[in-house]
Parts: sequence; C-alpha cells; structure tokens
Amino acid sequence: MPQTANVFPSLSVMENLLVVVGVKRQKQRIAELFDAFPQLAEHRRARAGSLSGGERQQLAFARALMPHPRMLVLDEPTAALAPRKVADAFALIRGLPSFGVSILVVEQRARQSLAVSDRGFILDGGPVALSGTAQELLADARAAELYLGRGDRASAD
Amino acid sequence: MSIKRGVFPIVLLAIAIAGGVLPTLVGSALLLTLLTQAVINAILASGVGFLVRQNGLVSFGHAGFFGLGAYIVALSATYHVMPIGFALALAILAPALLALLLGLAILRLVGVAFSMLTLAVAQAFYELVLHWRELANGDDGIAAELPPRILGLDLAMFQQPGSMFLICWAMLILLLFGLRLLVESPFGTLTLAIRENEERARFIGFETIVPRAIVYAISAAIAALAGVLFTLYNGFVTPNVLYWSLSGEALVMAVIGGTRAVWGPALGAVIFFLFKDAAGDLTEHWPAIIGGTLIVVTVLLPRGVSGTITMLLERLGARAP
Amino acid sequence: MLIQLLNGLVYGGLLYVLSVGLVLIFGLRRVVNFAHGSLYMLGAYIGYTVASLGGFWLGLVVSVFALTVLGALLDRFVFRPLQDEDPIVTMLVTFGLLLVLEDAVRTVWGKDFLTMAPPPSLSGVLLLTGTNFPVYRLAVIGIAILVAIGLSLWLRLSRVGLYVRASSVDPVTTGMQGVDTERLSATVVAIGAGLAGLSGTISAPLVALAPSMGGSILIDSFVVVVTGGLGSFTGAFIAAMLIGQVHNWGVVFVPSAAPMIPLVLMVLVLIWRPSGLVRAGA
Repeated sequence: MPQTANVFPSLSVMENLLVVVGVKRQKQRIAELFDAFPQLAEHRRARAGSLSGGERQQLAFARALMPHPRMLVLDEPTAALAPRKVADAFALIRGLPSFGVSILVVEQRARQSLAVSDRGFILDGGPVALSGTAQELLADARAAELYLGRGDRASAD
Repeated sequence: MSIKRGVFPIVLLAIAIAGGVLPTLVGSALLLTLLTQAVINAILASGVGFLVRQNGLVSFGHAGFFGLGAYIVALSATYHVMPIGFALALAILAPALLALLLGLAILRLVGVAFSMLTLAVAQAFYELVLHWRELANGDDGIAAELPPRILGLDLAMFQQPGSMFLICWAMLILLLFGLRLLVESPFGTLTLAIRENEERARFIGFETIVPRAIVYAISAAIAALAGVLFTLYNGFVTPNVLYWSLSGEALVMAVIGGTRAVWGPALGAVIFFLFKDAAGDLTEHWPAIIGGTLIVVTVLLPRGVSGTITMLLERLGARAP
Repeated sequence: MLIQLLNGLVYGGLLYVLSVGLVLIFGLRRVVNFAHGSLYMLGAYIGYTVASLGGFWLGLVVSVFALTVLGALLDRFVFRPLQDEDPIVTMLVTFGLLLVLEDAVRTVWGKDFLTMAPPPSLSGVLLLTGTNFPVYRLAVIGIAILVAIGLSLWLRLSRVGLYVRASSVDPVTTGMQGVDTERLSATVVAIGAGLAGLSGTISAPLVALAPSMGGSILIDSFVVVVTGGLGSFTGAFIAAMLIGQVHNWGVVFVPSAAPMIPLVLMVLVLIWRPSGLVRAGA
C-alpha cells in the first residue's frame, strides 16, 4: 500500500469496497469488514472524501483486506498522518492479524513499529544489519546505535 | 541549445544571405510563389513553436490569430477606416491583446483544457466570419482594396513573388533573431522555469500566469504578422485562413521541425512545402494529407528534425576534443 | 418564448449526448478526443445513407453500431498504444484524424449540403402556445433525457459503472483493485463514440449535412466540457443545458455573433470558478 491512504474520494465508503474485483461472496465480506470497522459502517453511504484522515486509513485497510489476502505490505503507513494520529494507526495495524493476514511494515518510526511487531529487520545502507524478535531488537544496543536513535542519531531521516 | 551563442547569429546571417540571393537563382515564378507561401507559413509555425517551447502548451487554433490579422488588414483597407499603417499595427496588436486577455482567463486551466479552448476560439471566429455575411461576404471571401503605397513601398512590391519573398524572408530572419534574444533573456529563462515546474516557480515567489499570458500574446502576434503578410501578398481573404486545417498545417510544421530550437518550426515549414510540391496532384486531398502527416510525424519523429540535428551536433561536439 | 426554450433544450440535448462521450473518454484515457466532432458528422452521414435505403430507425441503429465499433478501434489503435505518451501526442493524433475524416467524408459524400427527413411517425407538429412545434424536436429532447437517465443509472448502479467512476478518479489504483482497465477503456471509448453517432444521426433531420458540420458543435461541446468542469458528468449536463439555451437565444437575437456567445459565457464562468461549475469526480 502506498504512503497516503489512497481511497476514491468521490465514491462512497461502500463503493470503495465494492470496486475490488474477484472477491467471493462480496456482500458478506463487506459486512464482516463493517463489523470490524464500526466507524466505516456508520459512514457507509458517505463520500470517502468527507472522511477524516484516520477513517480514510481504515477504509484503505478494509479495501486491502477485501480479497482475503494472506499478506499485506505497508509502505510507511504513518508517513502522511498527524503525529497525534500515529498511535491510532499502530493500534489499527496491531489488529490486522486477526483477519488472518500477515503484515510487513516498512517504517521510519522504528520503536513504535517494533512495539506492535513480532519480528523486525533493521536495514543499514541496503543489507539487513540486524534481525530478530521485536523484543530482542528493542533491547539490543547495536540496534539502538544503528537506527533507533539515541541523542545524536535521530530516527527521523 | 547546443549551438554556441556566437555561432547562432553567424549561421542565421549566412542563411539570410543565402535566402536573399534565392530569387535571382530561382527562375520559376511558380516555385517562388510556393516559397513565399512557405516563408509566410514558417512565420506562423514559429509562433506555434514558440508557445510550445516556452509554455509547453499546444495551440490548435493559431489559424484564429493568423486569420484575424489577415481580416483586420483586408477589412480596414476595404472600408477605409484608417490609414494602412495603423491597420497593419492594429492587425498585429489586436490579436496579441486578445490572446493576452484570453490567456489570463484560460491559462489557469490544465494544458488539455487550454488546447481545447484554443481550437474553440479559432473555430468560433471561423463561424463568425462565415455567418456574418454583411461583414466580409462569408464563404466567398473578400478582396482587400489595398492602397497603392504601403509603408513607403509600392503595392506591387508586396504582390510580386520575387520582391515579396525577400520581404517575408527578412521578416522571418528578424523574427528568429528576436525570438532567440527573447529566449535567452531573463524573461525567457523565467518562462522556461514556469514550464518545467509551475508550482515551484510560484512558491519561489514569481507570478506565473502573467508571464505565460505574455508568451501566448507574443506567439499570437507572430501568427497575426504572418496573416498580415498573407493579405498583403494575396490581396484576397477567405474564411479558410481561420479554418482548423491551417492550424493543423502550422502544427505539422512545428512538429516536423521540432520546437526545442527556435528555428525548428521554420525549417519544418520549408520541408513541409517541398513535400507539398512533391504531393502535386494529391493536393485535392490536402486536409487529409496534413492530418495524416501530423499523425505520422507526431508518433515517429517526436523531437522533430531540429531536435535530431542538434542531437547529432551534440554527439559530434562530444567526440571532438 | 416556450418555443425558444424548447429549441434551446433540443440543442442542449444534442450537445449533452455528444459532450458526455468526451467526458467518458477523458475519464478513462485522460485525453481529449479532438476527432469527436468528426464522429458526430460521420454518424450523421452514415445515418443519412442507411436511412435513405431502409428508413430512419434502421439508419439510427446502424449508425450507432458503426460508430461504437469505430470507437473500439480508436481505443485499440490510437489511445491504447499512446497511453504512456504525453497527452499532447494523443491530442495531436486525434486532431490529425479529424482532418483525415473530414476529407474522407467530403470525398465519399461530396461537399454539397444534404438534407434528411425525420421519420414519418414523428414528422407531425404539435400546437404549443399558439405555435406549431415539430414533434421530432420533442423526440430529440426525449432521447437526450433518456440518455442522461440511462447513463446516470448505469454509472450509479452497475458494476461496470462503478469501475468507470473509480477509474475516472484514479486509473492506477483502480487497476490495482483488479479491474481490467484496458477492457474498460475500450468499452467506454466505444460507448462515447456510439453516443457521438447517436447525436449525429438524430441531429441529421434538424440541420443540413456538410463535411464541416462537426466543427461548430465541437466548439460548443468543448465549451460544455470545460465549463462543466473537465471530467464531470453532472457538470457536462448542466453546462450543456446552459449552452443550449445561450446558443439558441444568441441565434434568435444576434445571429451573426452567435458562435461567440458560448465562449464569452465560458470565460465568465471560468473567471468566477476556475475549475468549472462542478469539480471533476463529483
């Protein structure tokens, strides 16, 4: 998924989900997703363009989940969000595996993403420099040195 | 841009002289007539090309400004409303002013919409002349009652191919020289910057609509100049000078010649007229030929001849020590 | 008064049917089909010839069908191969096509004016506020309304219509959802061209047929599309009705300057609202 929540602003929430091709029992799937994202269900007839940033992101996730994917790749899902909304986004991501989908997140906010992850990989100039469970990485001094940022090495880049 | 600054005036001068002696070399009056028309069209094409080069915009309606220039001269000469000198100035300034005002209104639109509207405006003038028969005899066209002397020259000078070729040729050379100066001026750089990234230019603090409208006005004035020369030469104007096949012809020339170089469209015009001469008997289907050529050239030769030439020169230059 | 209003509706209706095709094609391919007026003209001529052999309705059906096929070919051999080029390239090519088609029609049918009679079933007149009004003109208004209703139902309710609306906003993301945008574009360009054929054929009994007939209506449809907001279906409808009225009153009161009036109106609208009456995608 791209960095900004790409919804079709002029289509309704419902139509944004209907546009996905090749979903078996589409109506039922939409009902399931509306159960999982009650905010979306509430605005199902509203134009996606009128949703808040967080709701748009929920809609983008819901649309990505439509065809029962086994894995989602999220490219910096928090990059376009206001700082206050970032925690909400990570909470949303934390909940995604309950749909039976594996998540691969590429993120600049290393600490926060490791906090919702099972495993992490830290890249340094291309190759994987470190990998391990999220807890290990959070505790690892080298990881902190490389990426997590301590004093002079800020995590934002 | 690859040709060095110093080289351009010299090459232009050489070409100017070569053109100047051409009438004495060419015996056939028919060929000279064709060449004169080619040069008038080269001026029109230069106007279209300049707009593409500086604004990145394609006009599908430069026949509108050409025809407006042509009709203003013809009508004011026929109705004797003003001295011919004023009429000539008005014929160039009025289309430029129209383009300026129009540009301020429609240049805010995306390029696609701009192109649509250029066509619409020109075609509306065509319809206007066609339907307003009392003004200019509609479809039948109007003979311009030009005075015997124009700007101190005998009318015959403008209407005989030998001398008119020289007048048009001099105009074209002056025009290309002027455009070259303009392109290299700060204004030229500014408009190029706007063409490349309008938003960034705006953020830096430049007003971006007015410079683009000025470019549009200049290119309209160039087209109108060609229209004025057309009326002086032919002494007769029909609504065809406003019709879209003429806009198409100007586009074909600009595309053949390429617009990256200021002189590209003019070169395209010359090539196109040689092609027209070769087409000979087919000229009954002239619009289809223009259209077909436009399609082929657009798809197969996107840089145009001038782009290809400058690319080759660049390669040669890179190889030389 | 009522008669003039109705005449404005007739022209507005024709203009809508033609312009909405331009909007559809723009939505999918992001290019403007400069040859759209030529498709309209071709529709009128094909309708004329077939109608003279097998009656008006056969002419209408054959013309719409022929133009639909031509539209599919146009997409396959022009829009699709050029989709990665600058839109200017495609516009130049369709402009070239306009010149070729006009010349082809002149060669086949000649440049003299041709006239076509309305179908006998619709050839009567109706007495409206003391004036006779041709039934056929009312039928044209009816057809335009049917097209408008049919098209908006199709866009609102059908699956393909949903894809069309989605693709008009964002073709790339639509493709990512698994929509076959190539097939969709071919369908939509075919429909757009078919509508141009429809517009041309139903206008044939109202105007004199000439190879240049595509010109004046093309200007007005460009004005409609830009005034309505490039890419907006609703905007095209409103603008077509507006320009239809303005055009008609212009013809009545200032016949010689009539071609200029829609343009002036458009410039005023654009000064007031630079992106047109309705924002695209709405």
